Amino acid sequence: MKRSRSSQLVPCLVLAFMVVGSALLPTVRAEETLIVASMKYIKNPNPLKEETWYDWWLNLVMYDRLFRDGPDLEPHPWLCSWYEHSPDGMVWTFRIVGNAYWHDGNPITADDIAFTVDFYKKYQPPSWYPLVEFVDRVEVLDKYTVKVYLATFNAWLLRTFGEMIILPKHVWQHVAEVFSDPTLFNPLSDSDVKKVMERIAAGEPPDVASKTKSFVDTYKHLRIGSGPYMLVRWVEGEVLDLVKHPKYFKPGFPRADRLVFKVYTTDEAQYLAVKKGEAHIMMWTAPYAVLPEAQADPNLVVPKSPDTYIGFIGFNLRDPITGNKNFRKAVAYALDKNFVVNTLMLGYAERVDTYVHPGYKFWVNLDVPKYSFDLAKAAQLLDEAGFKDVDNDGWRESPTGQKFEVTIYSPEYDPVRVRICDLLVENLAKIGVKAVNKPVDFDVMIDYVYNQQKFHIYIIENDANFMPWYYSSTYVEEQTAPGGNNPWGFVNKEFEELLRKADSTPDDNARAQMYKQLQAILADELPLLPIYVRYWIQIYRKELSGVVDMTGGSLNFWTLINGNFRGLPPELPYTALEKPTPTTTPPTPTQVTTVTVATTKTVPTTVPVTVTQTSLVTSPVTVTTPYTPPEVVAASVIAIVFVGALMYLLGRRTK
Amino acid sequence: MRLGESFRILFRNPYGRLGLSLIALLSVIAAVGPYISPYGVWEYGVCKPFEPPSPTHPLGCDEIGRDILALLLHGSRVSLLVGFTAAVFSTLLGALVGLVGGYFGGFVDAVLMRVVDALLAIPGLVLMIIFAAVLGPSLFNVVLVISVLSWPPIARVVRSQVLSLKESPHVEAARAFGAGSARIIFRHIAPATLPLLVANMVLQVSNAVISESALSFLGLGDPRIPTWGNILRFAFRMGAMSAGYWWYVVPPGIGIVLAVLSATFLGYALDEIVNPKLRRY
Amino acid sequence: MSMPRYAALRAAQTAISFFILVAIAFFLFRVMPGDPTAFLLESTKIHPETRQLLKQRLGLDRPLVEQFFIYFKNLFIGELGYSLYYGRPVTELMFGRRLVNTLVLVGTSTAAAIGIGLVLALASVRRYGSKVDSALTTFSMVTYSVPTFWLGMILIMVFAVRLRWFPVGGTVTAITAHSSPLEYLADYLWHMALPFTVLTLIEIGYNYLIVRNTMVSLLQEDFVYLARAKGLSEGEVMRRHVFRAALPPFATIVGLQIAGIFTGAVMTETIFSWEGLGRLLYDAVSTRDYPLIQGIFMLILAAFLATNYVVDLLYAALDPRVRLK
Repeated sequence: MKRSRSSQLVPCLVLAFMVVGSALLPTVRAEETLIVASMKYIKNPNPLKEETWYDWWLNLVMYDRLFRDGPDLEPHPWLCSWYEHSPDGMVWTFRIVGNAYWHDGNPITADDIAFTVDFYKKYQPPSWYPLVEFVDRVEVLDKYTVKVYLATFNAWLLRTFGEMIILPKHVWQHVAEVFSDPTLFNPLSDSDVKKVMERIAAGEPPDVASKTKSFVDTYKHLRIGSGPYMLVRWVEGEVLDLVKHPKYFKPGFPRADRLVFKVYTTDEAQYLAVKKGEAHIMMWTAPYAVLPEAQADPNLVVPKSPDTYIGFIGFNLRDPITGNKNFRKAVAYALDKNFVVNTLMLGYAERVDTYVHPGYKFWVNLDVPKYSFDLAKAAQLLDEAGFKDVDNDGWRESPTGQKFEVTIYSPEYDPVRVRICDLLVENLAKIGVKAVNKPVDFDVMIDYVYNQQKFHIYIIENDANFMPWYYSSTYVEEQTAPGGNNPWGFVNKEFEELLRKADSTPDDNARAQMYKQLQAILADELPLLPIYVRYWIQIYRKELSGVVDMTGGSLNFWTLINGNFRGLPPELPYTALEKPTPTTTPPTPTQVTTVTVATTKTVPTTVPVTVTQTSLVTSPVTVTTPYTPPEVVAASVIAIVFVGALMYLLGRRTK
Repeated sequence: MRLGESFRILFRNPYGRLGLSLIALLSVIAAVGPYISPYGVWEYGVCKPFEPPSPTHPLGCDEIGRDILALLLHGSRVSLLVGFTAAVFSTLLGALVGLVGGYFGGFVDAVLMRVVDALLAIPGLVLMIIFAAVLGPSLFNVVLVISVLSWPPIARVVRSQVLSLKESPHVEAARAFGAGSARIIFRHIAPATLPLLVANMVLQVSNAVISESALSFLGLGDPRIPTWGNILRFAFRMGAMSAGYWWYVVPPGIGIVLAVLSATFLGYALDEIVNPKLRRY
Repeated sequence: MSMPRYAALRAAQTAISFFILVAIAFFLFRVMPGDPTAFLLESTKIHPETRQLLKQRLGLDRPLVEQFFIYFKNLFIGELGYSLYYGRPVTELMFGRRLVNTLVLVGTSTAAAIGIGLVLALASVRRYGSKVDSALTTFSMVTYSVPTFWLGMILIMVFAVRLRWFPVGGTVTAITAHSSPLEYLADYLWHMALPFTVLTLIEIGYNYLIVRNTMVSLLQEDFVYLARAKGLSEGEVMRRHVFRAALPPFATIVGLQIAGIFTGAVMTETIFSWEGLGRLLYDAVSTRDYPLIQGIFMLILAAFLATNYVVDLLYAALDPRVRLK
């Protein structure tokens, strides 16, 4: 029996057709969800209350700004499509893109910007008011252009004003009608939303109100922004669920369809979640213990980026001891920064000697004096200043001959910083300076240092003290009042004059020079001494592409809009300016448009995260803290005596 | 009941035996430990971070390369001492209040009992944290806090015993002879409460050791002194738990359990002796 | 004194105690050194001036007595103020998921511990002096001696990390909405398994020991011999006389444990990332969030005083001698 050829042919043709056809069909992409293992839940659903890191994340992806900081830590145009400023820098004109929409579909216009500025000026929410304080008024020129008149010149406009979140006028105008204090508005509460919606329906033109209403009907909240992701679901303590903004003005972004912040309250739990594949990237830095195992895991990437926070010790310049410059320099020479970074922090940190974060390459002065570990030099400085041991008890006295003991406050919640202070105490003892480390509750330390200003030395981590745009809110005399940002009591006329001059200079290059000088003054006067910047190790899964490593970590805005599972490398889609700004030197790189970040930057498998053995074994530190404090010993002695008496009495009793 | 007799009864009791031997063992470790330990508490870098147990380091190492066995040995002294001291002080205080309140009765008693109720009503943890905030994190404050929180129950127990003792014949006789209150309390009533006190005190030790470990774990103790609770605190915070580094997590806990168990067993045995109704025959 | 009068008297006493304690607590908390806005100093990218502005906003500079009167006034209208840290109403933070989470976890484990402890104790008393009795007693003493947080850490290491049978923490795994309430419940219970086990195990010992010891000491009492002489079976003796007499101290500790539900189990909640009231209280005290601390404190106090009151009434009902004072 012969099979006809045609009956064999047909199935083959059908099969071939199917194969070819399926290759030609547009591939339906599976929905991509980027899951971030997050630490705490957001503190407050109101965008005006951006006070903690976690609030910051939500606003970062939900609200757009005129400018955004790129991986180079410089502001790049985002919503802004063109800007210029008058020669004296007191009048700025901004134009925004014409194709940006709010999450509810209404367009973003210049009205929104003007409204936002007026709103912040009127209600003064603590998180946003400092960004518009110096603005006198805003004029709307046309649908997409505003003119901003400054009351006082602000050299850092693009970083402060430029990066504030823009609020939708058609929503917040009516929030203010219902809530005299708009920070009390809860955009996720049904009752609050209902009240405001009524006012929106009454006060806005129908086409605007209807879009908002359908948004509220679908998503049940009024946290409407214009950022790449919009909020879908927020269950406190469990999950924060966002989807991509369908009308986002950057085509192709964000790459993921959904973004989920899943809450795991400990860093270990976050790591385990990423390891298991329950999440794709960690928000917090990974605990030391898991790093060797994570590095050996083929599914994980262990990046190493410096944090934005710098750990430093601060001195009280009002005190006769720590107010002595030589003394401070001696302390600086007595602190072994390399030991701190390599041993106490297991090599997961870098030493810092500058007064601006090293990531701000344009502003940092790398030539400031570095106080390397040198006990002999420290001792010499003390001798020169008159700190001599007059009574030969092994401890130095002050230049006026008085005995003294330096108190160092450390926050007890962070054992690393406590150990750093122990180390300092030990080294100071070697040069005859009596010091004691007092670990205290963090809030208490802040109270002692910033409010009561009763301290000698303290240790803390902070980013604002190392940013040039915050110098004028920090290192000035008016901030030395209790509660201010200058608890060290640093008052230097030369410094303040130069600072004032620098902040009134529109030209960036000239200003940078002046700031370098300012840093040199700080390095000499030593109100504070920077020590380390830790590595922020946000482990992520190998299948996650598009990660951008930058100062501050691998989880950042650029990673969040680029993250994908198709193997696409990251891009930086800055807004190209419509035409070059005509006035004096524009701030640094504005001409950059889309920059493809080389993928090699994101794969640091070659970065050694193991600890160098040598530095560990050489100098075991012996700290003289008694194991049992004397008070406890005294109490125990009393207790033992009492028990002895009891036993005696017991034995004596006859029944 | 003579002292020697008490000890013999304790020994016959299986719990007493266990308790006494455990206490003896722990006391030896606490006394001798720091001297036989090859490493000090502050010797960083004697081994690799998180190194698993090996012949040179039987319990492995912590995150900055300190030998864990050394930490345990040094910490034993402090953990036990703190537990013991806190227990004694809380018993002292509770006994005093119970004696005074029970004997004098009336207004004094009412006020004291209200104070006891108030202290029992405030959640212990809140009080502990407040203390730590006001006084600073230190071991002495831990002792103080535990004492302040543990004395109310003892006061209650002592008070009820005093109430019944008050009516006993020889107290009445003493009063008839014109003895002053203080004399009556300390000469006649207090000694009768001693057995109960001792039994309670021993049980307080177990409570105190657990409380100290809990407080240290939460960070209310001195972070530089390696009590067993503190060692666990660092184990937790440094990620030893999720990395599965059992040598960092298990040994300190076992130490705590043994210390508490020894006090519990002993206290239980004492209870059996003091309270004849519980005795096994 | 009759029962209704006694009940009324105790109710009045309880109310007075409550208000006095709340007032004391108010001042006590604010006496603590510490700055409620300190957390801003370690928050990223916060403008240095924000901290000063926030302080003014929170009104922390007005005299303490004035703040006290405002607080008490608001108390009577049910207004507990706004949390300094969260900026949201205290009632919203307290009476939300966290309360439910704590009540469910600690409530069920307490109930289980009481139940199991009671059953085991009764079994022991029945077989007083036997090997079973010794074994159970020793077991209880051992579990009573184990620190809660350590047991939690061990269980996580074994069952969640090594064996992967249970999740490491949290209350639910949700990244998508659960398809049905049943699925949600299953997920929730799966997450609750380990912390529940820890809490129950630790508390069993306590209940067991108290019940057993009380009943054993009662076994020697005269009325027991009398009951046996009367011809009652051993079971009836136990049930009708011994157990009944052991109820008062048992009721006391049950009351204590119920009242203690609200403090939650701070340790367990910390280790298992279980979002509950205990953890919230701890965090609130750490950040000096006075209104929140006050709110939770009052809730715990109210629970404690209420259960105390109920137990007192029970005592009075069971033992008339108590009323005659």
